[in-house]
Amino acid sequence: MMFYLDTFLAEAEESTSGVDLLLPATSELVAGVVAFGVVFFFVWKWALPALNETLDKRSSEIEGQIKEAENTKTEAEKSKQEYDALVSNADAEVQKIIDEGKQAAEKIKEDALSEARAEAEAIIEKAKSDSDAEKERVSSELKSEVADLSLEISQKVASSMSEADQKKLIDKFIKELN
Amino acid sequence: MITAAETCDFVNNVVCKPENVNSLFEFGNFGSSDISRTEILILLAAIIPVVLMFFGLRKKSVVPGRLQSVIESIFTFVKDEIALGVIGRGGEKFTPYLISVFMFILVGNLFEVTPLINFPVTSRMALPLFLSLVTYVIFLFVGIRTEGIKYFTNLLWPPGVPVALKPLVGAIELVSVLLVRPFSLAVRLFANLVAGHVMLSLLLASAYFFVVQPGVGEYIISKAPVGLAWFTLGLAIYGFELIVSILQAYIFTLLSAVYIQTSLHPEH
Repeated sequence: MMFYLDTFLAEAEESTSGVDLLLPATSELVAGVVAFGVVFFFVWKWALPALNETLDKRSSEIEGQIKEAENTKTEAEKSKQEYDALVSNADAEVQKIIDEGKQAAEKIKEDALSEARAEAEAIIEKAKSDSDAEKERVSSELKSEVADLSLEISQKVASSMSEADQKKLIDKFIKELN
Repeated sequence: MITAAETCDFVNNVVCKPENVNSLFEFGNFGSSDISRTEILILLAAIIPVVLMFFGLRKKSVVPGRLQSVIESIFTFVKDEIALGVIGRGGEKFTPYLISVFMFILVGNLFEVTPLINFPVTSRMALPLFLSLVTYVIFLFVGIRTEGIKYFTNLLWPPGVPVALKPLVGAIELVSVLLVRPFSLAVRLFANLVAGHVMLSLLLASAYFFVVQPGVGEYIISKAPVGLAWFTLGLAIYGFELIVSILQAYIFTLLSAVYIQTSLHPEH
């Protein structure tokens, strides 16, 4: 073999030999048929089915994963809702307990107040009745004392007067009484 | 290549010329066997993709590894973009064929830029011609199965062509679809790879011979920069050929799909 340009130019002028290049050599044609046959048979019977199987497997796996992800998502959403519900229930419970506590405290306060009020009223009432009774007692005592004194005074006055004057006075009293 | 070239006597022969241009593309047999290097490479172009596909798709894991990702991407690309994208309804039936064509041509093309191999098996007419003939048979078969014998009349005289133009259109369609199409499909791949291979051989071998001029000691220093320039250009073309290899495999597969589509859905 040689590589000089001259070589090719010289060969190009020899038209007969160049044509051989365009004619297939029988042995190479046979080799080509066998070789391509092998490739085609392999692709047809094994490679392409294998590829299709792989692609199917891949797409089904991806589909499965997408579904799984969706399931996980819905599950997560569900448990979040449950959690939220729990939390809000707990809040309500706490509020209820606080309210109940408040109400109980209020009631206790109310009861204590009303009891105290009632007690105070009772004390006041008792004090009032006591003072009234005392007043009554004092005034009746005073009245009887005044009567006694006035009797004593009138006896003293009567003893110092004449019978006529006594009669006059008695008449005057009777008159005044009337 | 280099070893073969070194047998040339540079001092007495200005131009070392092979006996025939074909010898650039032909290799000796292995030992005393009848199997040539090209044939071995053609078989390798089948074994390598099969092995890669086997290890790539063996595990069938849901989270793919690197090799599995690459193989899966190639498969789904050919399936979705070419088989279903171009052919459309009914395209899935042709997916195994299109994937096989793509993988086989891709590996065959990539031999061009594979170090130590540096020879695309698709630059031998046998492979492109065989594959384009398979595509040809498929699209003719699909056409006949879809429309019966009307396939040929619709092909030669598309509906709506004025009667006066029928002979001309018929002749053009006959030549372009039934005669030239398989040939152009084959030659497109073949010629691209031949051109790439010749270009790479030229540039990199030139680089080698300018830097290491066998047998002439003082030659080295004065001509080395020229060799380095060739080498730099060669590397750039090397990257370019990598793209060409992938692109040509794609184009061949895509055109096969387009031809099948025109037969399967003639209404378009």
